[in-house]
Amino acid sequence: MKSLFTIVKFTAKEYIKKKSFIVVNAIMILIIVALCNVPNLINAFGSGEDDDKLKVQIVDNENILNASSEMFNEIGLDYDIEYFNNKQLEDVKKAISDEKIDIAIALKKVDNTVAFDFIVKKDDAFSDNQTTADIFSNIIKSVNTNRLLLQENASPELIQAVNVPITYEIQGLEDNEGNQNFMIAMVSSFILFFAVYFYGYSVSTSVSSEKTSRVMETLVTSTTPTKIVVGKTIAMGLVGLGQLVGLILVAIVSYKLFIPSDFDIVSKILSNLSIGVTDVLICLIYFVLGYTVYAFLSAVTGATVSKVEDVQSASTPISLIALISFYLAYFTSTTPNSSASQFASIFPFSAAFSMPGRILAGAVTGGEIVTSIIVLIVTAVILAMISIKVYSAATLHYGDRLKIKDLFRLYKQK
Amino acid sequence: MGLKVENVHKSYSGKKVVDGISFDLDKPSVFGLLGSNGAGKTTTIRMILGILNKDSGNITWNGKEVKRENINFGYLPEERGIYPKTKLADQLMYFATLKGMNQVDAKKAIEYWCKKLDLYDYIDKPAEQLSKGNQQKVQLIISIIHNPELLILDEPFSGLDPVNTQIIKGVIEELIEKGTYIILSSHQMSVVEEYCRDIVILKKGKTVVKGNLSEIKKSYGKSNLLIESYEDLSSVIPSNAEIIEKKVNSYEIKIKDEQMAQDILKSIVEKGIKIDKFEIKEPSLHQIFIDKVGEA
Repeated sequence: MKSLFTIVKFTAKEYIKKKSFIVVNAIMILIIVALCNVPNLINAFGSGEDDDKLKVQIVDNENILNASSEMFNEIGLDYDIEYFNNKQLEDVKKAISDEKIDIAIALKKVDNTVAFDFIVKKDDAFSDNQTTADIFSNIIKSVNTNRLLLQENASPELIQAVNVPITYEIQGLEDNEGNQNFMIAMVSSFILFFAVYFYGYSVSTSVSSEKTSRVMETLVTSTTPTKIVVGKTIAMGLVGLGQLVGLILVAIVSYKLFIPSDFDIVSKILSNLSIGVTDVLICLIYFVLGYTVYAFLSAVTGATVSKVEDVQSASTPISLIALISFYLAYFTSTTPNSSASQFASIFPFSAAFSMPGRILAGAVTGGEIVTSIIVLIVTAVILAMISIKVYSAATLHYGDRLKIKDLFRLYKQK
Repeated sequence: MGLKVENVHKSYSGKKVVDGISFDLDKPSVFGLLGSNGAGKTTTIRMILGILNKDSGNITWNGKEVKRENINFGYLPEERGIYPKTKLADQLMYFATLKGMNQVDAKKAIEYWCKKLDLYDYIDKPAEQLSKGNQQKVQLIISIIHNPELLILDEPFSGLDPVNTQIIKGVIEELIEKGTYIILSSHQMSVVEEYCRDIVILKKGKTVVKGNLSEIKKSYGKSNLLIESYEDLSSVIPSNAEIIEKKVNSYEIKIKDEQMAQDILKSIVEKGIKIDKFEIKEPSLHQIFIDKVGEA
């Protein structure tokens, strides 16, 4: 036990002292801090609050509405609106061409009703002119209604009552909690895939670098292969978990420090989610088990090569298994109740990528979780037993990369 | 008591690599495990260390089957390997604690051996900054830091300069005094002759010579004649004599009997050649090795 702890400590310490690890983490922290500062940067580069608003000039040369700029700005809060009774349309169009204003609205009467021309610099399929025009149709309608009510000597209370916006609430008949959790499921799938795959790969390079430096022979005579394989697996898992938790903490702190309160999209998303402590714990269990399965496979890969440069090509079969499993989990995540998705969350190589998402989507029964965890544990134990035996024989082999049939031969011989 | 290897066999893919090797180390001393490349030395060592399973036979330490739990061994492999980027002190501490030492004892041992082997100045340097010879000394410390009962040294002197060779010889002598059982595998026969009481010579997995080194030599008889002189000796060496070694100022030849040596000496005296040395001796281990391993 003491030597297992020694291996875990040494392997983790050696890994976190690596320049590449320090640089990658520094870059990740910078990216997180930079992303959290995007709203501040947008505000800093904008020249003022008014600049965010579209500049609109309403030309009512026939004085149809008999209104004022104030009346429009009271209703169209998101726009900077100027109202003119006496302005040449050509001047307004020139102002649009010169990008001094964004929109011009020329009011007119058609069949004794109010109509308008919506003039912009360019109208194409990608613009949202239709939406903006609809908004202005409503704004003009409100101003016109107020004018008509005033003409009919309506009381200020009535006018105010007419102008009160009608509130509404959208209700879905089917339970939509799962859909709201869908994004989180996808994100968790991605994070688990990268963490499981990346740190599994690190176990591989750690083993092969010990073969390259020929330190392996000293190591296997200093302790047992079981302790080396398990120790390395635990060490890289802890480094991975530590890095993940560390980066999440940096993200939380940066979010609290840098994101302006009026830009709080994430808390709006999170407030709609129902993630409990149990869900987080289950995700953690899947990370640990999924990682364990891939780490033991990677330990064998690392032991089969003599040079670190060969790890990449030797890892191809594991990369393929990981990628296929990830895509299986990813594509079935849109239909968490389908049988393909159920398979993905039980199959040991894809369970870690699929199950957390399905749990967050609320599409899993307790029985499925228990089955999937048992399958993962059994797979991890079997792989550990095989990998330790193959590892101890393969570590002393130098020269050409060992093929699968060589591994079977070594497995029998050892 | 001690180490007993009895009729141990090992095959790879049907090919015998070790074929019935037997020997024992019954008291603290140096045992020579010799053989040409591919003779099965490393496989034998790995089976003794328990990192490779034997097909049949017994390997016992103090009467018990050799396992990590019942033997405290040290191993200096032929292929040197240390962590290149790790500080000397850190990797020595790593291996010492892996071998069961506590931090305090490990620290003391690291200091003692690093000072003894002239490495103390490099203790905070990564191993890759050390010379090859110094890296080899680090590797030796790793194998002896925990005071092993059984120490296996595979080519401990290869690549070392005379000064470092002398330092390591001193370490071996210290370990013998401490009562360590040592298996030495080397191609440097002079070193083996200097330290080994008993030897075994392997050829293609089979034992070709085994036993007490001086008895082995005696069994060959005094069959060699060494003559040293700064004058030309070619005229006194019989044309049919088998020359074992010819150097600038010496000849070593095989003699059939003592009379042959007497005849050569007579010829030297008659021709008035001044000689520095005239010795009838047993064959060297080098010669025995070539005799046994070299023959088809």
